[in-house]
Amino acid sequence: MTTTWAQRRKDRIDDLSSGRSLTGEAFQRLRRNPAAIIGAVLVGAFVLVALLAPALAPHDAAESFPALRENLRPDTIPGAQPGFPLGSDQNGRDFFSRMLLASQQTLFVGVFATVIGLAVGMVIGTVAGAFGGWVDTLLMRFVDVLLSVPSLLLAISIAALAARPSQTTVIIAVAIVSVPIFARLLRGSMLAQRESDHVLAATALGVKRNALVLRHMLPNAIGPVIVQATLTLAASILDAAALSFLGLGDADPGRAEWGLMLAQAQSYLDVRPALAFYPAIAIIVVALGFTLLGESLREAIDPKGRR
Amino acid sequence: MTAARSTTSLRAETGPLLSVRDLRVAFQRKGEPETVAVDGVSFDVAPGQVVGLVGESGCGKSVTSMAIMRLLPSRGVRVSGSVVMDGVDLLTLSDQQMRERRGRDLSMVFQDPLTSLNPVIPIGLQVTEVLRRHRGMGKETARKAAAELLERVGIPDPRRRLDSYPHQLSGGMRQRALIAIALACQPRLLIADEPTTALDVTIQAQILELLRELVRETGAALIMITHDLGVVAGLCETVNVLYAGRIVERAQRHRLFSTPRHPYTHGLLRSIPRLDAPPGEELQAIRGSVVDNVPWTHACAFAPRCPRSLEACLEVTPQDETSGGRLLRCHNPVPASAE
Amino acid sequence: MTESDGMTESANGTAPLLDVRDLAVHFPIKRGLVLDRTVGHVYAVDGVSLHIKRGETYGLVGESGCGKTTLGRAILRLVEPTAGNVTFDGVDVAHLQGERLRTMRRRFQMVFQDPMSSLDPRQSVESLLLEGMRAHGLSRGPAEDNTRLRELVDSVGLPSAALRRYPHEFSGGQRQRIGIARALSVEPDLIVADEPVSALDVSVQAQVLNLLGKLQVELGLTYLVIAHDLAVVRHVSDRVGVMYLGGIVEEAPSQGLYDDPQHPYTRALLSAVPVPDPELEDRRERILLTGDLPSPAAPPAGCRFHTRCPWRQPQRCDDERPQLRVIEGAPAGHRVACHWAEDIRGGKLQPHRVDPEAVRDDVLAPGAVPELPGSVTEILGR
Repeated sequence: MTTTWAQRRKDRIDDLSSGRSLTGEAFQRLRRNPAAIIGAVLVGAFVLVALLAPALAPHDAAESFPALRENLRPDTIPGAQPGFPLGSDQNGRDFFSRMLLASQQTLFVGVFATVIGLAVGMVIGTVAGAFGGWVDTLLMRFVDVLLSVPSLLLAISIAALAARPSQTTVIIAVAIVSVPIFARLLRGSMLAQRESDHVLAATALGVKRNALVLRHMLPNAIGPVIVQATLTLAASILDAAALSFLGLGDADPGRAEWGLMLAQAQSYLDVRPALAFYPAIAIIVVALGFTLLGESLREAIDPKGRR
Repeated sequence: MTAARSTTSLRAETGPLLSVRDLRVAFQRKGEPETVAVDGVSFDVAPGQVVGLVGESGCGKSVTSMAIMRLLPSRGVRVSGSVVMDGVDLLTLSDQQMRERRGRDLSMVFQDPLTSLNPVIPIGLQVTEVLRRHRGMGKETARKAAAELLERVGIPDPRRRLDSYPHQLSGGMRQRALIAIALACQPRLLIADEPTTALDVTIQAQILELLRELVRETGAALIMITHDLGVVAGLCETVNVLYAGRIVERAQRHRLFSTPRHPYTHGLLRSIPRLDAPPGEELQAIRGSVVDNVPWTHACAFAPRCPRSLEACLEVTPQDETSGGRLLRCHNPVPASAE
Repeated sequence: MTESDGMTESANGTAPLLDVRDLAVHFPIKRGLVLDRTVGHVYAVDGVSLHIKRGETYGLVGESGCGKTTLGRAILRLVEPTAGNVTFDGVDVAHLQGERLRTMRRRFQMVFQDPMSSLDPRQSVESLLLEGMRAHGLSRGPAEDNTRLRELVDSVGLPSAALRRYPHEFSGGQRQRIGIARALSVEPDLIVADEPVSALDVSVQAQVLNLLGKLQVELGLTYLVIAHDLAVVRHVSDRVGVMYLGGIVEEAPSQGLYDDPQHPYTRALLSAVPVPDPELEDRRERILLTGDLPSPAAPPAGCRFHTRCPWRQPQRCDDERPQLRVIEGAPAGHRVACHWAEDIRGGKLQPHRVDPEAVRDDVLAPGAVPELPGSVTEILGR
């Protein structure tokens, strides 16, 4: 009987040898959450497909096949047949290859837009939160202006401003839309950090100002922003798709992009609904994956879940 | 303004008002082993008696009170044992029946008056609500009674205060308001869970004095739950010392404080700085902390921290033994003549 | 260590290590949507003078809202003082700026009330302790640092394995030990301990108090201990200052304060502290104060305590703010700020009933007045 207690005691001391950081514990929790696993699988599959798309796709996105084209009628678009698993699109191109290759574009747009938005938002949020005062007021009023316009409307306006619609304008428009969210979120948690005891303690210790902001405030404030980034990634993909759908993206008809494909498919909805169905499902599934991942990340990081 | 007076005069010599027997509360969380917060606690409260439950955080004192009030969530919590009041086991009542008793027969005052008052409803309404519900008063009568209650608990300008919101009152006033709500239906048992912990000492003294007066006047019994031995010393007739979910010592307060027998009680009393002791002398600290506890199942939970622990303490669970009005759960208690 | 002991001896007769004169901290209360208008001030600290000798422990006691925490932080320049001087070892700290202030911080450190929130949750104990050493150029290469770190955690009674762990993996008492080790890491002269044990379990408090005592003897530290618990303050301190609403109302050697409390507020405070002794509890005289602490945003004129004082007199109390002074027949180190202290002490004045005054609640909710003024939601959140 004594051994149990002695064992416990020993375990505790042995346990002392390996400290577990908060990030480590959050990761542990993440691994136990089924939603996180589903999200990770969806996102992982999407990224994998996007990366391997050129190798996986049997055909080129822009190539039109006579075998498919000759069966094109105003009231029929050929379905699945040997060599073309999902059949043809409205121009006699291989729909399956286009679906695969489009994932690459979607990932590219989503990731880039989010990363740019995140970077700009973080700079604004960090500066505003760390300095406070009039700097904060000024930056936040600017952000408020951006926030006061509905996000899609803002993206459309920005994209429409561009002389020639292109992939880049879509990315920039979507990025700008996500800036205010990141900036506000980070500023809020930076302000909370500024008031926190441990930052006061570091100040009292004589830690230099830059270190204070970058080592103590930012790492503790960034959790919600990272979570938001995964959620924003989903939103960015949807926004980019919407812009393409509205014809504000790259106008090149040969380009494969889910939003664009969805837009083009609307004229053929009664002829072949699958042309709209697959891109829509793909967008939804990917957005869902990122959202699930983001939500479970939020749960894992949230201090309330901590003991 | 005088010191604590015994409330025995008002007590009818009948059976206990509340009888807690072998109360056990276990929390079960998914994927984790069951944690036993309260592990077979038994005690009686006679009508008009003031009983103290003392212990550190995690000793199960608050969970005990929540279990008596049936305020624990039903999911993930296992409560066993019995809590008999008026010959009825409260633990077997339906939720509806229990709701009727709460506030009327037994009532509770919490530690944090700000979070236990509804922040968006005026104080007056929160008092009258109870009065109208349990005592069937009309709107006007209830308001009058509420003002009287607030006055009784020492809130100045009670009529105006009826329309105040909790955040407009100070901590002490909020606690008074909470006590007024708890006493609205003249319950025979009041449970106060750390009612003064969030308050300043001078305000604490006011609230303790108020509780003393109220117990004396209304004849209600009081279960005082606190970590502060000083509070207990001036207020409670019988003191139960809890450690890791079990009562380790129980005695009448004068005896408990003059000759603490359990090493935990003894150590606790010697480890706190006292106002009346010469300053600067080293405190006799109890080593370790609650995380060092071992389960009661095959040992004494306090053994790893105990200066008097024997071999047996880590092998055999000590049983509670009552002798001369003192309950003790220890293999090697401090000799009675130690102090 | 013997060296610093010797220093204590020799320095005793000379200038104090810390000399605070007429320190004031007033927080503006701002209102307004676009441009913040100052509509009033919270007089958190309002004219405090005190001095602490090298190697001494000075205790500050008072209830929440009395300004003791703000005073401690103003001395450490964690809060900007509005007026007054803070002289630390001959240097005027209250007016230091920038890098000079930062390097000066090495010499005065702080131990916080809540050991969890005052430790960065993302830092291991090792990096937590190294940080201060690096910031002040005390780091001397990995090998020596390692020895120093082990020495530090050992001196606060933790195993060296603790270095690799993170704050959330420790118990409350252990975290407070880490907090103390962090303060010690930069080899300070003065440590301001703000409620060092009030967040800890009763059985653990003694360990931390003993540790603070042990470290003081070993390292020749000077302490300013701030607490609401008179018993704790009296136990650890050589001298005690009692604060009420932004000012010190009585200052005395800790035994003297208990034996001969001269200010009505000190008397009330002493009588309100529960003592774990039923015999004493039953017979001691209780001076119950009525009402609450007035809002520091609208402190009463004259003696701050007059609204609650059972000895209040019609003359002087309401309009003349008493200064700290030594009354006749009292020892030299015992100062009190009360006009009637002699008569109260001599028993010539008897306490009377005080009707609680409804405290103004339009400036800030009384009792909910924060040490730092904040929004209504913040006050509500407390």
